[in-house]
Amino acid sequence: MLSVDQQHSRVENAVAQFLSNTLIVPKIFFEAQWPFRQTRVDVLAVDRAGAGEIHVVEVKVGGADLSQTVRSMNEIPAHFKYLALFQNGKRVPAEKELYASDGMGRVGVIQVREDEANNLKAEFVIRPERFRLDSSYFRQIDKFTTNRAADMEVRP
Amino acid sequence: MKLAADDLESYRTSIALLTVHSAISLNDAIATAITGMKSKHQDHSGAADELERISINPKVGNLNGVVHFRWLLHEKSRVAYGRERLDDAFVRLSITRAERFHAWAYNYFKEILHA
Repeated sequence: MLSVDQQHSRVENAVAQFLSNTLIVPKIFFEAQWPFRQTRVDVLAVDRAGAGEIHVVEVKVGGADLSQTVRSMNEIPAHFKYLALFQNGKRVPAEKELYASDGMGRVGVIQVREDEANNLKAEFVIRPERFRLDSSYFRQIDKFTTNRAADMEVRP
Repeated sequence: MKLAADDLESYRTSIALLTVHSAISLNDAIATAITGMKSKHQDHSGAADELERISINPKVGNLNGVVHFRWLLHEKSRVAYGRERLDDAFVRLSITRAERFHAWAYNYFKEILHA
């Protein structure tokens, strides 16, 4: 029996693979200190080998206060935000909670399931909508990708 | 290309074509941004030569992308006009080459291709 932390890491891995298939040659970072050293996101992906948009994922395994999680995601600067759920009894946040207060942006929901062969598969339950983001964050993400090697990327 | 690659059996020729054309489009974007003109090379090796000239620049760390681009251009006729069935290994290699070309381009021409 795996611990919750182990399951959490498995789900991060499955979500990273899912984003890798969905985006264009993204750079992917696990447990990324973004946007500050004190803050951490489970999975950070920067599309187009670091030249594109910023995607962040929060992973929740088992029962969790999803409303609180979505509220905390409002503070994370990213063009696309996702909540990845595993072993949570198919609960999803109320759709209204997923939207940005100005309506520009919706948190996507990814459901991760385990098949009979114990393989994890991720799929969208709710697709994300793009958030408004100040262009200064491109400079910040450039610094981030320069200073930290990606955990997953396509080698040129 | 990636979506179609989930069903390689059904879309093998389309996938291979997309690998080539996505690379040509990305190269056009680079050439247009740097030279101010769209690449007019009818001869595909000319487009690769032009990319190599552009890439001989201290900011570009290596020419791996040019190698991938040349390979894709070299296979274009086989993919587009060939009569033989493309095998799985070839299609997968085309995807790898295209993805590596994209990664190289976005790494070394970031200012031009930035979102």
